[in-house]
Amino acid sequence: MSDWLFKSWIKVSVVTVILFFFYHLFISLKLEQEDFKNNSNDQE
Amino acid sequence: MEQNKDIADIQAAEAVFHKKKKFILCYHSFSVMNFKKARVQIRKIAEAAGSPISIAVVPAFGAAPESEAEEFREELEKFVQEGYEIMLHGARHRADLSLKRSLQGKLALLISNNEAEFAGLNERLTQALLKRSLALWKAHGTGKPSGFIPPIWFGNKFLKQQALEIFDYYEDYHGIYKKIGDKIKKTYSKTLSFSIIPNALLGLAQTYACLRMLLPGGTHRLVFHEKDFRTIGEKRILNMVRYTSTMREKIMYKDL
Repeated sequence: MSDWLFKSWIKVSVVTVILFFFYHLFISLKLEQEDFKNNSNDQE
Repeated sequence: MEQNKDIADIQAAEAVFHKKKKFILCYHSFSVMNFKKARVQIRKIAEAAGSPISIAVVPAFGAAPESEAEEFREELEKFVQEGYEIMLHGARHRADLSLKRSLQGKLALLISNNEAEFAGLNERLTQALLKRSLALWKAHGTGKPSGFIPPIWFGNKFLKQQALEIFDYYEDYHGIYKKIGDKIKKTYSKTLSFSIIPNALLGLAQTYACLRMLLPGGTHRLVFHEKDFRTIGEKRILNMVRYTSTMREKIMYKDL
């Protein structure tokens, strides 16, 4: 049982790190964009 | 045509869903020492957000000449008239090292490079420093601030109660507090600030901030300092504000 829990925890941690890495790449590109427009005012 | 209408409906529904999540945008440590640079930065952030933001003001004059202090007062007045929200941010921000502090307070000073002005003070000293902060603020003569934010969010066990007797809002690292009758209402809110983060970790901190804003829950605070414009850069700061504004509705403390 504890072995299964440990392996699951490892898997979840690895998947979280991978997802965070891809989100980091996405955000890095987004924050460097020259023509980022805020459309929140248009939606209101 | 019908398909376009459906897409517009879906986009409108998504916008409503995103707007249910809220955040507070606050510029910290606006003072007589930095107001010339800071006023430009604040207006740029507000423009990116689409409306006025909250400003945490350090009221001490320091050794500034009277002409500078007068210009600072005029700038504050202008911000208030334009709809910006003013919060009080300590008295001097920098801690008085001659005051007696608890062990926890001394540790907070060590971590914060002596910026945690209220950390570890006893009840009497806390009251005195809070009154001094308010007196310094009154010297600027610009109404009453909405709330009190202790420098570096390090307070002590007396500060919350004492601050809420004077101001409508008080905040620490984990939440924002409002006094309703005899009870204190806490709003869960994470502080997303970059000023004390080492340069090597700033990229990850920005990703973490954006992720917190993307995920549901809490009315988080996105906080910028003058220093961030040098370390993070104006483009990234403004894009972070724009990105967050597409996911959450920006509110002020008084809207809580």
